[in-house]
Amino acid sequence: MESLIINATAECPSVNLNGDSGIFNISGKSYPENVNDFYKPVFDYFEQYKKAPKSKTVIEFNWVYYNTATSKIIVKIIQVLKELKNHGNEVEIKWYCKKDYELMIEKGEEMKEVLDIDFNIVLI
Amino acid sequence: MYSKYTHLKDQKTSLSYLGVISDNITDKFISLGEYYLANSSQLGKLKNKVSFLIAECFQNTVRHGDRELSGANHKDFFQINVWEDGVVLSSCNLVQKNYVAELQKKFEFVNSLGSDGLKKLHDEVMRNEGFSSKGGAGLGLIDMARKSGLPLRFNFNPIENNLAQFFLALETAGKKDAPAESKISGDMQKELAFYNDLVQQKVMLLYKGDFSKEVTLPLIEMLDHNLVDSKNISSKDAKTIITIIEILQNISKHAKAFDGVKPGIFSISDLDGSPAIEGGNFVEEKEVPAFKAAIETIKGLSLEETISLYKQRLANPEITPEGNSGLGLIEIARNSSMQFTYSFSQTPDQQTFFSIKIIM
Repeated sequence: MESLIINATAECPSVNLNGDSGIFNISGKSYPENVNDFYKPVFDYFEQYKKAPKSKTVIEFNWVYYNTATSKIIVKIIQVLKELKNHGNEVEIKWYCKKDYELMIEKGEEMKEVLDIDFNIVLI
Repeated sequence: MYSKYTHLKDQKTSLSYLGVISDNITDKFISLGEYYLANSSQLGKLKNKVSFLIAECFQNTVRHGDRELSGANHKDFFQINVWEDGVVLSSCNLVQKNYVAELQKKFEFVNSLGSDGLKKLHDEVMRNEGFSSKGGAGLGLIDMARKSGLPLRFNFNPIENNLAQFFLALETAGKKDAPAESKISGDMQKELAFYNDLVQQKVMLLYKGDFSKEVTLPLIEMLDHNLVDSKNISSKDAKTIITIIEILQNISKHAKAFDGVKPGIFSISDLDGSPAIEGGNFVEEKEVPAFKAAIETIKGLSLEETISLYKQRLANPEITPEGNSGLGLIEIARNSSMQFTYSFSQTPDQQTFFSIKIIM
């Protein structure tokens, strides 16, 4: 499966979705004017991936910051992973943040609570 | 915010920036200027001229200003004002007092020349017969005067430690055939007073104009560049920039449009060491009751209740086709620890103007 790679811009994160390895990474800032437009290829990619997922899927988030619309996109992405998990696939969510970046740690904890899913907050 | 908005009512667009002036800031000014002029039937032809003047005005601050200098009550300043019939660019930077007489002489000399004289001088300088010992005052200055087509306005304001503030205003008019009426007072006292007001109120950025996405994105980038160290971001800075984004995108998406333009106002200033973010825009009458109810509800909550509401809404990943999350106001409230005030003003022409002020 060909990877989806989108380079970061001022308002959009870098995206690297590698269906062959099952490792997905989204990093940077995210405040596009319309999140639906920017993240459409990401969800399209997941739809394809879900047809033949790897036994283990890892998603890594490494945010500088994001707007509220992106927070709902993150929820939607994690819900896709929950679906995979419900179908018996191993899923790991890695939420990278600097150890003194309290806001992003808090946002990770909040996602974990809201989505009721194992969440690995990786302090760097 | 409505009084600030009406104060700038004659300017179609006004962007004032006080802080470190870098290439990045200049680029954002150019892209905002170009966007505005490209969308103006009367001023569209000024687009390239204004881009050139912005770059040249910036070059001027670099060339003549001393980047190492700093004054207690000084802030480097850059402003673009777009009027119905022309554009004014203003800047302020510090120079050492001992350069003032020389600079003044050069500006007066350039202003004394007509277009033919300027062309002749330009050709002479091109042949390396320039009059500038510093290398900069020659071509740049002449080009500014030639492109502007109106006298260069300047003022030197002596401050402490052998320093002077150097104010420069470049003006260009939209109508070539009509005698241009200057928007700048001859001695620049009006402009200086406006600058001093901004410094006193510790304003970093004040923008009045259309809030389309073509405008909000460069504004966000400009503020991000100034407020955020992406490699070492602090929680406070992140909360500030996220709040700015939510405010600007809210205005951009929800403000009432008049002939395709969504007029509004935005500022960020320093209030006793904390950023104060203010926004204002017109609201569609039919949307006022629901909007009022929503913001009143949030205002009535404690911080804990607001966080709880946030989590509740976050669990529902619904996003409108326009990309709205329904979380913006809640995020603003919690980021500011509920330190926000708002008002709905009725304007003389029966419009509703919404203002919000957030202390971070």
